[in-house]
Amino acid sequence: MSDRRFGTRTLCRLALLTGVALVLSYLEGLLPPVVPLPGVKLGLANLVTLFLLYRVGVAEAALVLAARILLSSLLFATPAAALYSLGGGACALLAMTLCRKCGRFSPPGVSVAGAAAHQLGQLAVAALLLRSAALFSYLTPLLLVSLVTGTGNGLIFLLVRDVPLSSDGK
Amino acid sequence: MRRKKGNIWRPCDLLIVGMVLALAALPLLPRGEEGKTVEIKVEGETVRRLPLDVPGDYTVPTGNGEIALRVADGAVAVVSSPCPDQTCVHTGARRERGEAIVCLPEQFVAEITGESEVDAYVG
Repeated sequence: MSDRRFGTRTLCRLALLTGVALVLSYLEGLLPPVVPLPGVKLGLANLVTLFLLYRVGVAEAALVLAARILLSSLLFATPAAALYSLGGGACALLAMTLCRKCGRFSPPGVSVAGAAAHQLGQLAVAALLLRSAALFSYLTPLLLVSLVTGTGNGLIFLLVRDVPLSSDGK
Repeated sequence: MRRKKGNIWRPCDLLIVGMVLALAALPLLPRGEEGKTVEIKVEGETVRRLPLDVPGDYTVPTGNGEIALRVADGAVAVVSSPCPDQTCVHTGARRERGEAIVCLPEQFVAEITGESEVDAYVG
């Protein structure tokens, strides 16, 4: 096992999980929009963030999160979308890390906190950029959706929680 | 190492759910006034203000084309937009003060305000 901070194993892990996050991002974009509101999505890629947070650490989770957001914005959306996602993603990571560190919440709970923080962060960035406080009228449905998506992601995470990371596994 | 079979949830999760619900409830606090004007902003700059009591069709130039709006019946709705997802069109009509129709790809917001209309072209 390499001693260097970013040895081969770490790099491979980061790259692979970034790929997973991107694929999840892309796949959920293929689904027909159930709710016609900006920002309503499954957030499946957050699964990867959760996974890294619980299995490895904040730093790697943050790296993959940033890489995924930048790449998916460039590949699947517009560069402007990166700003909204980064804002949301940063808030989500912060919330999830704090909840995890606190130790009193379950993974689905942490996931809900992340989903809600993501929506809030994204909305705040949009309100700032578009100079419109009226955007917060969307807060209610977005947060309610985050309860559902956060729970869903959290439950799926529980299923993949113990996938092996070392030796031959991912 | 087998994790002990336990509950999926933990009691403190209720705290998170509670906070999210509380935050979600904030915008629902009684607002009061009806909307009087729709203020249209593109890329953060106000470009038009239109009264809601005068029906009409308008177009606003945006980055990739134009967005068409219709004011009717005290409400405003986006009729067409060059954006790929058409969320703004599906939002439908809005009439209450504080509500908005947003088109993120076009950086367009139509906000309902309570001010009396002052038609101003800005910039």
